[in-house]
Amino acid sequence: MSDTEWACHELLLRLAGRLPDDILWRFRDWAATDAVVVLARALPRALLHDRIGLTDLEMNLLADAVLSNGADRAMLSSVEGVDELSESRYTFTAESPDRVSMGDSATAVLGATLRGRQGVGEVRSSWRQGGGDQVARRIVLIAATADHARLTGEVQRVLRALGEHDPCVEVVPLGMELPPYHQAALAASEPICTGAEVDGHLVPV
Amino acid sequence: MANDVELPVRLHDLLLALAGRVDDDALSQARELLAVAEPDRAVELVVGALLAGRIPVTDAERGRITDLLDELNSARSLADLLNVVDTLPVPRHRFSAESDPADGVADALAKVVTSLPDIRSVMCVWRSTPAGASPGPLPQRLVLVDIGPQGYAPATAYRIDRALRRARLSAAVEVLRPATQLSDYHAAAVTTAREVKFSSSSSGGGHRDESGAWFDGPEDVRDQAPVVEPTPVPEIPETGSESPRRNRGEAYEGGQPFPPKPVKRVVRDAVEPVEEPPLPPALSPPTPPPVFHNAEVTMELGPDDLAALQAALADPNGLPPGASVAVEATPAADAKLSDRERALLQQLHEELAQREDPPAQDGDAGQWQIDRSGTQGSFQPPAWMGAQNKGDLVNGGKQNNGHPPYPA
Repeated sequence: MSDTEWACHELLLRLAGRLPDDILWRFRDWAATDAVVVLARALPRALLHDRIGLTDLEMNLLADAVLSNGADRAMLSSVEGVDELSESRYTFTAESPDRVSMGDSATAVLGATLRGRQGVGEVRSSWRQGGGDQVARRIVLIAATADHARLTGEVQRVLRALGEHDPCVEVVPLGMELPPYHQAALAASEPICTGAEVDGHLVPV
Repeated sequence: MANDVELPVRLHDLLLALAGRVDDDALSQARELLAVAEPDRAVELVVGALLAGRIPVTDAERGRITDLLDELNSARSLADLLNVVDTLPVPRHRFSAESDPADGVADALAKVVTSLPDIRSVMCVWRSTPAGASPGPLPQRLVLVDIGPQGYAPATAYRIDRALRRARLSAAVEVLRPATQLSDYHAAAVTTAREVKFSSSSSGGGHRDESGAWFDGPEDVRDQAPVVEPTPVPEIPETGSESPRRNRGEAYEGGQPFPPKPVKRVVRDAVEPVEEPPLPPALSPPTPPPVFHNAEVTMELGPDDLAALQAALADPNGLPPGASVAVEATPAADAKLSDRERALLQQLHEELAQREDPPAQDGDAGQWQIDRSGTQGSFQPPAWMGAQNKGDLVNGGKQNNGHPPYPA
């Protein structure tokens, strides 16, 4: 994974819960494909449209992710900087309040797909509420050692086929300090399976 | 594409052309961006989806995308990255109207169709094949909206999509403009689609044309009386139409046990007289139904109507020019007439035959052409009946009875 791809993936990971889900999953879908050049234009525009500010770290990631792919420098300059991220608007639970009595085919499929897979560590899920969502949304947390963007796109497509229009798939590089959003999601999560990286935990143990 | 067509319309047409090739959510988002005056983001979204999925486009389509990017001050070079092919692979989409794809749609759209201009029909169908590189769950409901020249395609697509989402109905909304060639995808969908029936009470208010909506009939008539194509749909009181629909909706979520009932197709041929289906009890004489079709008004003339009719017949100028009357009562309807009424109608026929030329027949209905006239084989009331006959909008019709001519 090149520096540009890495920066792009990490930035999109950090924008979870801040960019709308329907935009974020698609940007992540583009990040691992030829559409990264469109992403370089669309991402700054989306940040400006929704008035989303970035920390210094995120601002550097944005520059690394999009400038080499033709982003407009003037547009990047308009992105507001923030000192620290505000409190998350969401609450997380281990179970979906909407699906108490229903089977969870997505969990079964993810387990069948990712169990024992190379480059994949711990796989967990939790449910997010609040932030204007009418229903709880599944958050899939995956610890991975490689191919983060591609794995994100793949799991997103699986979840979409299973009925989640705007999948929330967070593929976290091992050893990364989790943003507050992911920490909260992890705290309320339940395990789905573990890949081949048996020591690949989402948080150091 | 001619540049005299406005950019939003051209972009809307491009999105229509990509239906079935790009995932439905991308098209829905692009239409929303277009409707809220962000066409630059809409075009980039489309290009991104095409690139991410390596979805092939024709050279002409790339040219249209290049023009749009250029006009929107985006990077036209993005279009150079598209996968251009000489001949598009033909995706084999399959459509089905089983398990009532229109279930719940009339309720969800009842309000919005009254506030949008020039909506002519709404149809629903299930698509059982995936679209795009990142498809959503199947089957996917398609809502096909036919608009007239006064309609706004991007706004209609967006508003209807929003209304469906609010009702938690997952659907891809395709708004078909007049005078546009239907793609194979849309033609196949339209051919299989089931029409959404809006109740007369739900089509009040908003931007209304003065004409009647040609399918402004009851929602659940199919639940209560067999429909034989293309027999006119009998009107029934709205009461009692809710629970059967609800029950069907609950049932098909599980096993989809309901076989499709015969539906009236949009692609119309010449009208052949067919047997009248048995009327539901609510319509059976002698109890007069609370609302009438125009044809029924003709059959059950009141004293005032009779006097007006006789006056019109006596006066050679009684009918304004162009107010043609083409009464074609079905055999069953004819049986309901009294001798006196039948004689009056016969007299009316003879008078009109002498005064006017027969109306021109629209004989160029192509295989995939949608009949938007709503006048074939239907009763067009004369001016003295207080109805007008210049359109067939879903949200049109400000008639006393609120019921339009029967569809062909």
